[in-house]
Amino acid sequence: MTAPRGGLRARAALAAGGGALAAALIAGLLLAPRLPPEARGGLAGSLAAAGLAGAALGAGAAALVMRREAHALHRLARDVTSLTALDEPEISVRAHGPETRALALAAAEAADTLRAELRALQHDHARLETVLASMTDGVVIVEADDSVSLVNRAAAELLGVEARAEGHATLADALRDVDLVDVIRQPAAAGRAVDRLISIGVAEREVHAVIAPLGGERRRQRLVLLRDLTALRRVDVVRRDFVANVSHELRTPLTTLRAMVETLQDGAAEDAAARGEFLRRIGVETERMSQIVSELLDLARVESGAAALRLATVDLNQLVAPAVERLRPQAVRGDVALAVATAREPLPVRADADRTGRVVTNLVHNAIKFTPPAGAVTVSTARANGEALLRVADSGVGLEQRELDRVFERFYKADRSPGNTGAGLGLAIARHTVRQHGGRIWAESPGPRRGATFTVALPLGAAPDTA
Amino acid sequence: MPPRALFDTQLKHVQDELILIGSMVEKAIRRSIESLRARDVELARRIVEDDDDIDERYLALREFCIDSIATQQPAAGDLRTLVTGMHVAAELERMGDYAEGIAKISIRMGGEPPLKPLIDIPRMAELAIGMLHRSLTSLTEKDDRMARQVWHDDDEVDQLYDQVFRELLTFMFQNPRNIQRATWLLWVAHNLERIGDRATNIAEQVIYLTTGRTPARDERWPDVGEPPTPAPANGPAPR
Repeated sequence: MTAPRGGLRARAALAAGGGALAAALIAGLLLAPRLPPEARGGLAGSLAAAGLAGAALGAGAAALVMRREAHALHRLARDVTSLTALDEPEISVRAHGPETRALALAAAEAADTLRAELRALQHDHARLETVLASMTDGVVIVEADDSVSLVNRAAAELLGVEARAEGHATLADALRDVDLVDVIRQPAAAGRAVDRLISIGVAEREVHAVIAPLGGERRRQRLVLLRDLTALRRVDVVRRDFVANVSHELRTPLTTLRAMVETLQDGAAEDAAARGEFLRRIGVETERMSQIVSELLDLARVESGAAALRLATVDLNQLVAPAVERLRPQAVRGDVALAVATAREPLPVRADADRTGRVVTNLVHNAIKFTPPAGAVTVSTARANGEALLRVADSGVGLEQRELDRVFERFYKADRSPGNTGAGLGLAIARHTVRQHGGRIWAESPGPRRGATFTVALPLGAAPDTA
Repeated sequence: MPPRALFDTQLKHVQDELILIGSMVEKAIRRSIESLRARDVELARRIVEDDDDIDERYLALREFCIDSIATQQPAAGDLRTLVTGMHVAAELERMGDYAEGIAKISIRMGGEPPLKPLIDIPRMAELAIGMLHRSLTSLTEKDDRMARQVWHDDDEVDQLYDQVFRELLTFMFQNPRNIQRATWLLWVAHNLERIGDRATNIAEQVIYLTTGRTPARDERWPDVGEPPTPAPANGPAPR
């Protein structure tokens, strides 16, 4: 390392001043004995004045140099202090002395390197924040002192708390869930990854929580990953319900059939009246089984896309009448007033008449089924915003807000009472069919016991094909 | 650790324990209603068992607060914080008991179908859980305005209780066979109404903590708007 030459120059200036003073003194000492006594006083005075003037000159030069260097160093110190702020100007190398200039250049070089690394770090940090924010899994980082330094957006939503990217909130304060806090605090989570299935948050979401060590022995952080299993569990429950439903739906008529066949074999076949009644009921039960199997096959076909549409331009109004008339006896039996209010103008749509007709039938059938006696079902059509609308409104049992979408899921049954004999497939088939036609279907309801309205919107097409 | 830092840690521990006991109670209330709705006796039994954990945690926190008062001899705001902590913990413990009570009703109902679809009772439960949650948040954030809002919400719970009460009474008048099942549901609604009241008590403690005095009932409205229409006089006494 080279010596700080700026300091040497200052010292040299001082030394020059001192030297001048010393030279004057030495010259005085050497010359004094040779001079007449009367001249010695004058010489001493001159030499002292010269020495003092030299010393003052040297000190002045040194002070000037030192002041400029100090100013340069001060500026350099300020620049170095502001290194962490990336938008600050570059380090100034406008130093006067070569030593200070060398120092300033070295600092500027170090600053460039540091700034480049800071920018890279900031970039990485921003990328990490984006990744964490867009992750569907919840991420929480717990420090060695059990404080929480990070809760990403997904974790915050699962727990019903605020997301945080820094700070040192306590576990309870940041997560507000006793089950999750207990899992994180358990000693087993200290050294190795552990996982648990728990229900968390105000909404009791079912999650798979994994707690893994992070940051090595020194930092002893823990990473908490939360995977929401609620939707998966729901599908699982729906599937289980389906198996139970289908088994029940098929087993019940089968049991009835077997009993009736056995009764007929045991002699009832000889009684003409009993035989007729039994055969009628066998017909009803087989029809019911056939409908379930047919719905299952329909759904499988629609979902796999194997069922190609036979499109033609049809008038939506004309699809309503047959479906309503087919179901009118059911409405009469249930004491439900069934009204139709189709649009006066034709509503041409490109549709598979058979399958769209089945959607209408399904909606009207459901409306009658879920409307208590003395209720009303109204089927109407209209034109709105380039779409043909079919509305089936009832005054029946209605739906809760959270069920409005779920009723279109496969096997979902809003009404799970034993009286609801459907397999829960009709609306799922309807939704697939409507979507295949490029249309939309949705349910609206002011709430339980306040009726529901199902609407189908199909894009309006050309004028109907004439037969 | 310096004495003040140690005491601050103890105060933080009290607050954390209140949050965690609150979380246990919230889950107990929600699960008790779920056990009723789904007629899940097994779930109801688990809630009854889990109430022991709430009780244990409450007793441990109470002991901790007493020890802190004895050893640290706090004054003014610190003393208020510890005393409030003990009060709030006791309220939470009672709320846990009400949830346990609902679970026990669920067990007694067994597999019997409910008298009517559960609509207002789950709404009461959601309101009561929301009140509990917000009352604890107002405590941790020392937010007396939020605490006053909890008082406001209690009137909604009381109104729903009144509605459920009259509806169930109608069922009883219609058919004496309904009396037992209607009474069970009435107990459930009553427990939820009491949970709402306990959340209101917590909110009251928060106002005491932040302002140093207990507010009068009639001074709550200017901050949070007008109260809803009061329940009819012939309804059940809300408290």
